[in-house]
Amino acid sequence: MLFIALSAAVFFTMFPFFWLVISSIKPNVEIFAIRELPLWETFIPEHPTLEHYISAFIPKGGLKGAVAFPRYVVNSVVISFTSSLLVIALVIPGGYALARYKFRGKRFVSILVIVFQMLPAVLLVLPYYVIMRVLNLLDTWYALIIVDTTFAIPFCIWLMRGFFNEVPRELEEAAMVDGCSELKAFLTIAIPLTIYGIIAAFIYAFVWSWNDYLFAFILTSTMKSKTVQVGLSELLVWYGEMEWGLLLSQSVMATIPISVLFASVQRYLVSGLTAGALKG
Amino acid sequence: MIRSKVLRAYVYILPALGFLVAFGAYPLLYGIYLSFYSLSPMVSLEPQFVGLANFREMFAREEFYRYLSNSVIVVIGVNALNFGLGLGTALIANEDFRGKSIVRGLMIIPWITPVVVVGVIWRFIYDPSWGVLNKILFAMHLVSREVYWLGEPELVWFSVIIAKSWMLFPFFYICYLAALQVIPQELYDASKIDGAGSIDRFRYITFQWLKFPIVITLLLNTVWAWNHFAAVWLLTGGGPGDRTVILPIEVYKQSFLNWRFGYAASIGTFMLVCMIIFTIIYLRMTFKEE
Repeated sequence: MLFIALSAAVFFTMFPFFWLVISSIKPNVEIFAIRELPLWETFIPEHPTLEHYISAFIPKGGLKGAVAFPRYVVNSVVISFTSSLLVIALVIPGGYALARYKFRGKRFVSILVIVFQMLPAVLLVLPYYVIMRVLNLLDTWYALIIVDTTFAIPFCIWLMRGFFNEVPRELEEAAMVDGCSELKAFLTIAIPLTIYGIIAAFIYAFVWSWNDYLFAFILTSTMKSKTVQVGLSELLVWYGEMEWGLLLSQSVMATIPISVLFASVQRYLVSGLTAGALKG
Repeated sequence: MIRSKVLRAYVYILPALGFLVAFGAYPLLYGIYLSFYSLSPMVSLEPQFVGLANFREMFAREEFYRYLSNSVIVVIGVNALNFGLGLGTALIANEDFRGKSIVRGLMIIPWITPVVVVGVIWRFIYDPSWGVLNKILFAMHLVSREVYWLGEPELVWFSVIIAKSWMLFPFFYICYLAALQVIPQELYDASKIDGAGSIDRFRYITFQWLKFPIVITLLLNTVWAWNHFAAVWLLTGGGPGDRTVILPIEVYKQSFLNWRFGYAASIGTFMLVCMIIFTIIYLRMTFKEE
């Protein structure tokens, strides 16, 4: 009984992915001949091919999505990496302050974190557009770096606060007794002990930025800064026949790297998240 | 060297806080401010004050109420399905069996896939001609013509809610699983000695421990489903026609298709106010008994 329910759950979860990956290695003839093939043959490609993956990088006689893809990847990588770096630079001291010091407004920051999760992103898009237009940052990496950093800070500060809470104060105090300044204790003792938290925060910010669609969509307009997500969405057209092969392969390429990254730190992120849900 | 502890705390938190205020709080306030103005960036960047005109227009439009009810449909549908799926899978995953950790790891994947990829996957599955769903139904002789999962008004909500739930249920799953794992085994053992059946055990032990996570997850998911733009947009574009336009999509259309930022902002502000009111009422109701 348990086995059936479990299999059903796993099947429901994994099948769409499985289907995505399998289909992405089918040649176009097989993708578009799905109606004619007998059922079991649709799940096993007869002639598996990497042509869709290759054509994402090497244009095949004027395919629309092909040339742009590498550039989109570069954009996404730069934006996500930079914003993640910025995030950890900001939340390491921020989380430390929240964990170690009592000060007015500490509660305020905790509430801010929660409030931030509730904001309608669509409401914020308009001001961002206007601000970026005024600053002449539309269609640049900077616009998305700024926005992505902003949205990752609340959760990451929360995460770092949790990690700093785990570092015993006595260690820093012992160092200070030996003549170390508070700042030095912070840098050489506290931070290294939270390295897992820092990595987790970095990866969270990276994945969040990589996956973002709304802001990337609104704040970019040309190949100069469009991200992988936006590029993908452009292939999802409403008219005519879509380049399914290309879409599928690019989707796989957009997902696998971050899935791997996320999986490696999920333990820490999950405990950070659920600590919030369980203890409120 | 900074002597005062409090001062040091402020200095440490200032960069992060400053960033949030500058790029988070300020835009938010500006957005709310905009709802009382009329702004068409194509024409000029100078907003014109119009008072409550945007809101009056919003409540006067007949479509607005349809979009509002669409948003409500999404929230209720996604919450229900996610709750069921999340709880079910958490209960299952809580049991001991071989390959437990692998299964747990796998279940998270839909949650971290980019929305766009979720859109691609489900558009591909639902595609009338090339989709695997129709293929399977054809092969099993359950349908005789192509089913337009995302095109037929009667089916589209069903399809959208399933796709969105697929994307989101892992969040519920993780929270419930974490909660389930904290429940001390002794409680179950003691109750068995007292002769409690499995339904009683669930009701008096499991469910009590789950109450708080359930309240929180439902709240977070409600807010999230209410505000989320990308999933529905990528799956249906608001269509067929404007059948699946939810409030966030309407905000997008008004701002970037009609270039009426002020009016769009007022819809956004309305969304925010609704969520604030909902949260207050919801939390009051659920914590009244405590």
